[in-house]
Amino acid sequence: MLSLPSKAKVSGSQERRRPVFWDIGIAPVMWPALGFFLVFAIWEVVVRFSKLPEFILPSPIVVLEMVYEQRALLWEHSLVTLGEILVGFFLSIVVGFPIAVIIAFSRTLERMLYPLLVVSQAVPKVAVAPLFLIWFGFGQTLNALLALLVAVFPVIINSALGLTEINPDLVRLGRVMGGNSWRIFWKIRFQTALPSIFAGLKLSITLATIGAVVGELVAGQSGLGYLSQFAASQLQTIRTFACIAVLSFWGVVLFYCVVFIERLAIQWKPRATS
Amino acid sequence: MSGLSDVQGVAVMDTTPHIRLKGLSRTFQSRKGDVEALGPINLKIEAGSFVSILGPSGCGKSTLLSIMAGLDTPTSGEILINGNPLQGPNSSAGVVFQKDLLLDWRSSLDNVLLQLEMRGKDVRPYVDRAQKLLDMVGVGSFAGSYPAQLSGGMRQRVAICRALVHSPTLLLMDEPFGALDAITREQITIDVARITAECSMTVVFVTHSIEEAVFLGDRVIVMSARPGTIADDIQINLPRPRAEWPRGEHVFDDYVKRAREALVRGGAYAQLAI
Repeated sequence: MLSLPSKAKVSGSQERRRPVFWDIGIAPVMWPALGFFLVFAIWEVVVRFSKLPEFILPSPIVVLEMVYEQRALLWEHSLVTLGEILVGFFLSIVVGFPIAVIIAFSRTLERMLYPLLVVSQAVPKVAVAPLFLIWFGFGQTLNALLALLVAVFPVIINSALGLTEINPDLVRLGRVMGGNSWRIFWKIRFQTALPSIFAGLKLSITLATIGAVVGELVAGQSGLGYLSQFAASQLQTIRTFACIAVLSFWGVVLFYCVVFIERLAIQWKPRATS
Repeated sequence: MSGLSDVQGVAVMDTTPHIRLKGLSRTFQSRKGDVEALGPINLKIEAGSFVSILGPSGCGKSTLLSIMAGLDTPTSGEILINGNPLQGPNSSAGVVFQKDLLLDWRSSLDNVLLQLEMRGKDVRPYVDRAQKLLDMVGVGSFAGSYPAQLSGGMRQRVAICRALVHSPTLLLMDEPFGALDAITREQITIDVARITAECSMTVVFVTHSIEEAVFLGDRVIVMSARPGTIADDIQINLPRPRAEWPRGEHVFDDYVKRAREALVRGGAYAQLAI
């Protein structure tokens, strides 16, 4: 027991002798990559040694082979799903942002709408899908609307928060400069709210993906969600996995598209240094 | 020092004063009832003069400045600017607040130009003037830098340029150096003395520093503790800009002494006696 502290000291000084590139260049990419690699390696090993049938758990390599083999089909259905996600996402901005502005500017409307919004969040939106099916019928419209329904809430809440949480002195400054409400809104308030708005958009794009896929699962005739469901119903597990892999890929791509736009819009924000 | 004289005794010029306060008072509503913050105050400020308003914390001096900026309205009495009642924000003024209130997403130059954008004016004809002002306060080489890259003193210098870029006839400064360290504060005070002497305009400078008030002003209005009324009105009979301060010369001593006595009389140190 007594010798432990000195041992710790020795290992500590050894750690400090790590090469420089370890900390700055490679480490941030390497650790996550290693994490992914380990999970897939364990998965592969489990499949090989457990002799599980392929329709229960196919190996990741087999899944990747399937993605490659079926790339034309997956691409075709990807376009359908991506279309639904993007339409739902843009609609959630078009619908959500004006509501946020109303909430931010009218105390009365805020009191009226806010509880309504919170209560609406208690409704499991996936459960509304069958109702939407009755109203809007099968197809991409339904799925885009479900994406909108799920994705609009974070846009409203985060935008309203950003627009209201402004330093009142900045508004006073704008007024004494002779600015009207319109100019104060676009040149000061909106810009101040941008980080908060983008926080909402990042949540929203992720949720829009969920909304669109739920629609496809419930009543799809095309799209990756539909394809996955159809394959599963025929016990084509490898194909289902392939759909999930491609969907995840698109989810990540869309999320980083929003991050990229955020970086373009908010260049002044000091970046976190690694 | 026989130069001390009471401005109240001096015959007033027959021209309209730049700012005229008649029986001005301001009361704030709180849960415990009405709180008298200010007044009644009667005051004439001549065009082109530099008036320091000196008073203890909470005496309503910032409220008084807000009223002159048109950002607050008096509960009773009236405020006349060039003989006309002030209605709405006083956009003929330039205002420097205690915080610099620079917009993080704009460079120094663009922050200065915000003054004109808020007025809906074309910015291009003013770029040269903005750059010259930045040069004059010693931050010319930081015109393209963002506020996050500047020190507190540099940021406040940019804010001063923003208040001057539209050539206002009135400059209102509300404890502009309150957030700065002592050395920066002395440097920037000397710069303000020089700049305000170069541009001919009326300056109202709110501070709780006796030395600053006396060094900068043609006239020091000493306010009593809440509700703030005028405890003394001291004419400083020294040519501006003054270079002696803060090098320990004694030309200001009598004025400083008189201002301190007025503060004592006005109850500024009452809390210390308990």
